[in-house]
Amino acid sequence: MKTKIPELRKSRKLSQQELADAVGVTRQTITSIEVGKYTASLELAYKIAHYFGLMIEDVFDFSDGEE
Amino acid sequence: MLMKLFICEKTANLEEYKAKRRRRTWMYAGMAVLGVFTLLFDFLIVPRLVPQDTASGGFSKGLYLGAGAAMVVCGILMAWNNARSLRDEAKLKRYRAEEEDERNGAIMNRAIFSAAMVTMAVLYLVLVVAGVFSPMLVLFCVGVVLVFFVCMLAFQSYYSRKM
Repeated sequence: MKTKIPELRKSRKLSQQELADAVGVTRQTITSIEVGKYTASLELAYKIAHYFGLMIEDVFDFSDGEE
Repeated sequence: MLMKLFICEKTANLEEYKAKRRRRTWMYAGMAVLGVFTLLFDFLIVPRLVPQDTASGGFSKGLYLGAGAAMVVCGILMAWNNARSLRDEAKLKRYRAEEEDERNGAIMNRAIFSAAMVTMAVLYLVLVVAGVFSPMLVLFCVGVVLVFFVCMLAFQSYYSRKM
């Protein structure tokens, strides 16, 4: 699953650790989501999107799994 | 209760997490007390049950002494470390994030599943080899496999009611 987290972080000058602290996960989890090695749960996806003030579909691209 | 203390269930806030860790401190203290009882068992009961001048006597004495001492030392150290972490808010936040992190939980689930599969395969191999020369070992392996599947079914039933 592709995400726009790196771009959103950079535009807000936010480190992975700061985002991780804000949504209550470890920095490694944010890294894994950014590189596509781990798919965030609905709850975490919502928290991240909410943190950036966006909708989930604006942060995560679900088109890969669509048939 | 025990499962709630150690399985990475999410807490609603830092206060709830603090309470969880406080309960865990008591658990570790309980482990140390159990270790003291094991040591007492070793010093007072074992010499009366097994003759100490035999090989099995020495083995059982060493077994209870080692297990008891390990439980006391680990229990005290873990309780102390846990109690100390309760005073440091920043450390507590980091521990909470690490413990309740969903990726860590997923990694742990996969690791436990893989380890269980490998253990089952090893037990099967031991069972096949031991069948030739040690009925006791075969019974032990069958017992372990049975305990594993009974526990698995019990947890499956517990979680299907919970989730």
